[in-house]
Amino acid sequence: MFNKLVRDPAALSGLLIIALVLAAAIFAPLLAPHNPEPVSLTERLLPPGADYPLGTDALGRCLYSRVLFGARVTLQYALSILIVILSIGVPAGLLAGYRGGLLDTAVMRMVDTILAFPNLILALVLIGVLGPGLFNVMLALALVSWVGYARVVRGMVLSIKEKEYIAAARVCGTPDLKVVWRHIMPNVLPPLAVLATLDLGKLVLSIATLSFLGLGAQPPTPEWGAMINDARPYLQTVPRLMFVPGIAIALTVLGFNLLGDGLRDILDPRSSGSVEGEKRHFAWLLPGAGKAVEK
Amino acid sequence: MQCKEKLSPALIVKNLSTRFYTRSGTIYAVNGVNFELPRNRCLALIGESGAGKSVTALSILRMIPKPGRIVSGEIRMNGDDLLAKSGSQMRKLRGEELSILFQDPLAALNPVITIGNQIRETIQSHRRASKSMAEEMALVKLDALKLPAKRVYNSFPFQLSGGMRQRAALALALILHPQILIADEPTSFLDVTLQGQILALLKNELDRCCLSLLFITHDLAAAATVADRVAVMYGGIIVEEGSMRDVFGHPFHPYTRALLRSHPAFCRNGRLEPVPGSAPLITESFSGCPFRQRCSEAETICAEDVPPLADRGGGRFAACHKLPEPAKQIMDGSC
Amino acid sequence: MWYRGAFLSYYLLKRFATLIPVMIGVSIITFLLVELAPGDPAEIILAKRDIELTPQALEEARRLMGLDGPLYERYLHWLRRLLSGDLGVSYSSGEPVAREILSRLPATLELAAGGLLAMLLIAFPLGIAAALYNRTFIDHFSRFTALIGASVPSFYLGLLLISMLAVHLDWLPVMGRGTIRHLLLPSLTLGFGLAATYARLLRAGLLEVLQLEYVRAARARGVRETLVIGRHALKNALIPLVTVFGLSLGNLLGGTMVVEQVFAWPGVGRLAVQAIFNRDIPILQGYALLMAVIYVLVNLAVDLSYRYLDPRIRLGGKEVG
Repeated sequence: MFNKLVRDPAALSGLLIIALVLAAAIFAPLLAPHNPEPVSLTERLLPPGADYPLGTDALGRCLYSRVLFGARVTLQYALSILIVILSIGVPAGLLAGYRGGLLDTAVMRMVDTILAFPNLILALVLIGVLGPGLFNVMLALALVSWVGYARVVRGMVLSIKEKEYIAAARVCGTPDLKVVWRHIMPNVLPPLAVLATLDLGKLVLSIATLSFLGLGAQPPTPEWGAMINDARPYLQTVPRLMFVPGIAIALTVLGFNLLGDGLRDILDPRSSGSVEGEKRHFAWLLPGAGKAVEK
Repeated sequence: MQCKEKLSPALIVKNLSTRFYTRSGTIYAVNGVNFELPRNRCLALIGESGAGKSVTALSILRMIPKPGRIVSGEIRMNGDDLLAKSGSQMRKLRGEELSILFQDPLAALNPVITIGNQIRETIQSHRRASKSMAEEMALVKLDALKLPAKRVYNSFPFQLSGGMRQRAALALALILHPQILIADEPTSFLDVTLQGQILALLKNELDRCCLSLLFITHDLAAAATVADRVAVMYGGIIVEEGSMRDVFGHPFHPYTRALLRSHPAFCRNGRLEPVPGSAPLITESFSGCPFRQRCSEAETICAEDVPPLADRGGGRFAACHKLPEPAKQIMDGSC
Repeated sequence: MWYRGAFLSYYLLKRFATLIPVMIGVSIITFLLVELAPGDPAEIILAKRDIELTPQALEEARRLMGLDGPLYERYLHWLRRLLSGDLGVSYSSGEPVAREILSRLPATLELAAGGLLAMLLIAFPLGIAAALYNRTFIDHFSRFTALIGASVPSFYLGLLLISMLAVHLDWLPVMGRGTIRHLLLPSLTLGFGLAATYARLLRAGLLEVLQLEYVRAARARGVRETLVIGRHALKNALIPLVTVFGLSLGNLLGGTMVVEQVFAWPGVGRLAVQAIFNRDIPILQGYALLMAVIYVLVNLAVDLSYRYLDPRIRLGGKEVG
């Protein structure tokens, strides 16, 4: 599967972008020439130079170092949120789909209710109640996002449950946990991987958006959305203050989108653009497609 | 009727080859097909699925989807080579002079547009006609095909029964009185009783107006009821051609014989013998007879040269090395 | 025929019935928002009105505001007031929440409509061009454009547009609401991000439909290409898109909040963000409730229009595979 991914130029570039951002996040302390947080009013708005590769911001902080550390903050929170979402959403979906009955009804009622709110708006209001801050952003985004996974997983479980090999395994007295682990999870995982990859991009966007609104990262934390908000007064005079973190966000999200689309093409042969898709296209040419004469 | 007996053929297909250049290799679907469609007559193109019949039909319409391409040949209609025509000239010809009836009417009719609107847009794509004029034309045609015209006109395809649907599709194909109709397996999605109905309608249209029918089918019995002449296709080439009675009565080509033996209506002494093996998907340029792997009479020469479709006298042609020397070849176009 | 109408109204009835638990759930969540919020609402109100915080005054206020009973009683009290249109009073302005929100709603709806239009105007050409010129430069270009639209955060795009079109070139007003020209940039910002999904789905749907037999059949009848694409292919490709459309309206509503903030657009989203900094929970509560109601109702409408658009469902009374 990895081979196929690497052969698709779009997916490969997605993979490379993410590797780059990940490297920036991990090695930020080594790569960054300066501490991203302390304010130095004597060095405000310096142009790019030898000491500051991308110059300094309005408070005299190294823009390059802040963007590197921004990758760290963003990825850290995006991944944490994803883990929380997965560890609530997947078990909830499995349980609801596999057990059915009252449990299913209860879970699905909750899911439907949360899905009745526009996603970002519910997150915003929750943060309003909990108070601004990255941790609360994490809580709010996790609370509103797990339902999507619960719903998708439940749907898949329901369709897989109907398959005969599941019934066979259950008749043989295989414990439920084993049935779920051995027979259901392998079917659920591929679409989940696509969803999770695309969602990481969305989470990066949400974190940046909420921070831009002043509800996420608080100063002096280097966070891309917050950096753009800080750069607003310098929109005309020092546009690079806005461009650099903006490009960082767009590139990271682009990476996840490219990788997610690539994964989808590989895991879902029905989607157009894949060789399998083309084969399906020409199925009518192949012998045995219609009714054979011999009949 | 008013159409005279001895007329130039409605359609001449010469040396037609069509290939599909897919990412997993080239498919040689049609490999030098020659036949003539006699005017106001029916030629049945028979063979197993995968023999290249449908691709031949789509080639005539110049509607081979990418990555397929017509690589060589001539398709002459009224003296003009269709392969030399521009895209917009072809568009005008389709439906007006040259029409096709597909096998599955449910798939070939747009599910969200009423039959009436589909007929009307066909008329209005070719002629200047007001809405009411087009409707009038459509109703007349539907009526002629023994359909409750008004109701069918206002119906969506899913509201009609299978037989009505195919008749509506036929009305759609014939609405502009084309010279040539290609019927691509028009009965294979229908019940036996409805098959007879459609065949009778096709025969009726053939007698009534100056229509030439290229009837593509794997159903030998259906071919026998409507066709005047038969061309047997295998592996992208025509292996035998002749009048209906001759070919079905005294088949020359081993494949035709095998095909007839496998059909309950034509096998001798009631013993069905399936054709051994299965139809090939030709993915490389081949030499020799495409049927040789399944042929019980194959010899070394069969693996070397493609047998030419040779005149066997009496308006019969067959492509087999095992037959006695041909009198003359049709390749020089002097048939 | 009688059963058609009967079928549709039965369906309507069923569909409305499913709304009831969802609406109850929505009201519970919004109610709990206040309960979870730190701070005593009665205390805040008294402080706002400069009433001395004596225990008696506090108890009186709690009783008046229905805050003294157990949780379910408080919920029912809140729900009764809600159903009579009383959403409480804004902590910061002292005005009724309903009035505050409703006075700003037109601005938000205007922006949402503009964004929707921009989205369609971007997504349709991109998606159709990509499908018709499949695997050519045009396809790659429009897919890339759509991908960029999905990847660039809308607030950043908005700022870029302001910087380029409004400030540098001085073509359009930078901020605020008023003329159509004011609406242009915010709509474009909102629409561009949403267009990506549709362009992609439209492309995939059209590619799927274009290879179907009825499209081939229409071409084989010599039907004009504009009709083949515009009627045969597009109509069928759009029907499944309608359902996605309903779901992504949530993103549209969420997007208005961000875009309002960037362009100083005086809508409900801006009010809500302000409310967060003022810790004005009743406003937030009203905002969440209103957005959920709009979202649910619009989805209902979309669902019904989907059933109307497809004659197989509208007339046949059967679901299609």
